[in-house]
Amino acid sequence: MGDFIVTCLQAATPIWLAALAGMYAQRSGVIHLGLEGLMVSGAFVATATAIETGSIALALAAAIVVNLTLSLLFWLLITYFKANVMIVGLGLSLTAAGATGYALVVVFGSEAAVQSPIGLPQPLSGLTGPLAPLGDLSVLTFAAIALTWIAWWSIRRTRAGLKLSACGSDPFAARSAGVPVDRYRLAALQIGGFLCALAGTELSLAGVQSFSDNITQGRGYLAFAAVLLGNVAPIGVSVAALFFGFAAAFGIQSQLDFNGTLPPQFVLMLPYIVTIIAISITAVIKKRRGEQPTLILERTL
Amino acid sequence: MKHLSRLEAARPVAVVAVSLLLALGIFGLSGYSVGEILNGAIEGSVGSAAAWTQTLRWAIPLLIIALGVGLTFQAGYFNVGAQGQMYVGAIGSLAVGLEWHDGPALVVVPSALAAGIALGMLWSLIPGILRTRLGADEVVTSLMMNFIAVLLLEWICTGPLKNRDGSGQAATTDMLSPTFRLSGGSGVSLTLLVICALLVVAAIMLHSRTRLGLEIRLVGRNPVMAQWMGIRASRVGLVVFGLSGAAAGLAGAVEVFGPAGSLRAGFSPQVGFMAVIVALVGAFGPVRMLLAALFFGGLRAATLYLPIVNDLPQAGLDMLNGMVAVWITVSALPAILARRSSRGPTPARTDKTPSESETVSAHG
Repeated sequence: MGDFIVTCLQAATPIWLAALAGMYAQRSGVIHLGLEGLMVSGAFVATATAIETGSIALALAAAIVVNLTLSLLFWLLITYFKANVMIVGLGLSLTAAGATGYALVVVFGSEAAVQSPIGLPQPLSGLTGPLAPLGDLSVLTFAAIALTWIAWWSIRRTRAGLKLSACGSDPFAARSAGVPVDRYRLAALQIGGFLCALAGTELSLAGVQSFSDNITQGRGYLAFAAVLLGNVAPIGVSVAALFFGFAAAFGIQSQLDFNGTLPPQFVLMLPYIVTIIAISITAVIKKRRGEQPTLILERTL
Repeated sequence: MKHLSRLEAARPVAVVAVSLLLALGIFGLSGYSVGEILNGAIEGSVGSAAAWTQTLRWAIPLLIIALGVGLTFQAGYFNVGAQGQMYVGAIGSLAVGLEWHDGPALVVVPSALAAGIALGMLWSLIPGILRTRLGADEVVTSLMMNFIAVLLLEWICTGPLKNRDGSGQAATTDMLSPTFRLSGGSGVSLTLLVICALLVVAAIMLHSRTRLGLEIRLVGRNPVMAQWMGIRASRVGLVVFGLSGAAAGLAGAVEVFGPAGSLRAGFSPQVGFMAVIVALVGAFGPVRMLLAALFFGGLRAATLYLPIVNDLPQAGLDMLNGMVAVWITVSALPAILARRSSRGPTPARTDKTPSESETVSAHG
């Protein structure tokens, strides 16, 4: 049981961190479909740096710097070049997937995977007895818990958080009230870049300690779904991410438990089906209350 | 205005050219010979009859899907579920083809294609109905439907339709009877080309000769205004979701009855997103989408050829596709040329976008 909870948390952590990133972006009014790309770039840069320097701190720093740059580019494209947010986001994800696959071959001469000699620290690894499974959790899982609290506090309890939410819910009103909407969006995207760097590092340097082509396998899109499933609120988003972690762990577990009787694919479908149902229910509730549907914002394709 | 719309039309070409240069720059910097890559790319896509066949083989699914996806985009819906719709279409058509393996080809093949079309349509109507009736966001739901379809395909290929004779071949299904195939393994045949030509003509007719085509563009430009004009926007929404799912389902069926002959888990993984890019580069005009499909089909052919001659990793060219997507909706160039001030409180995304300007120019 303890093992299972730890597996859930491990599977949830990357999605969780990326979902917080998407939450900040969406609060500021940017629909962030580039989470997948930022995760994969973070994962690659962290692994490559860890291999070259042997330092986890440098690996994290490099991943963060690269992702901040990419997020700045994203912001420039949607703000000054008026590109469509969703297309740029998808494009960023496709480019990053291609670029990391390419760099894997060019830098390491390998099509499959590279191993890192070091991994993320595990702060509770000294524990014994019933709490021993917790020792497998990386430091970033604990960081995710702290960052969730910070996200909740910054959005619900600070003036800046309120203004950030105003940028998303009514950019015109926010602008009229003197909020520099574009700058808030930049800040939100930079926070998102930082969080996705952590998410990517967790993915590659916790547990497996390696980077392989297409390491994210759609987790960035799951994180995006978690943002909507959690109604763009810090706690809700975290719960949604944990649910996805649970579903992934349950999928792995069910392969062992009912091998042959229940195809694992059907278990793995569950989070997606639940997301669709949850999003529909939310939409219906909003419609009943006479609110605007969640995502109709700026649909200008 | 005329001048501007010509610029609008030239922009996708510029975007593709810039991305191509950037990618070549990256390949050059990382030690590959740019000349050899260009040579290889041309050889692999248009250099010989075999290369042209490859280009067409990949252009066909891209074109079929893009024609449908373009309709949803024009109506203002962001349907990104083409990949899943294509998968279920492929599954449906293959199931018919395998179950009815002793029937006459003239009956079986059309029914199988119809099954593919119907399933693709159904798969697309789920997000369509949720969007138009309940207001659930179609980006998320259609994306989720993709993941579900990927798993469904994996299950079909490892479970019910798994090829039991295949020894090491993991996760493929049985082969169709050769008499049912619309083309050989090359994926190009007169039948398929005729199907594509008919679809392009149908799309042109829909776009410029029918009431529905006009309604789709009006709903996309301004749903509220369209509603006031007596157009039922949600009905138009359902129709475009249905049509785009049907097209993607047909593309899946064509893949099975054309080049593939069987199903493999996770086949053609990027075709769905690529088709979105094709639709955008072609600015939703059927003929321009045809040209864009040919270009990206050629790129795909080159992608598969280059690793053989230059050991350029395939991911390098996937990166190029992504880059095109990143720049494709950038609209600063015409804005600067029109001396429109970019200062002032212009919101990030309520601005004019390709589809809008495209409809504007289409109306003169």
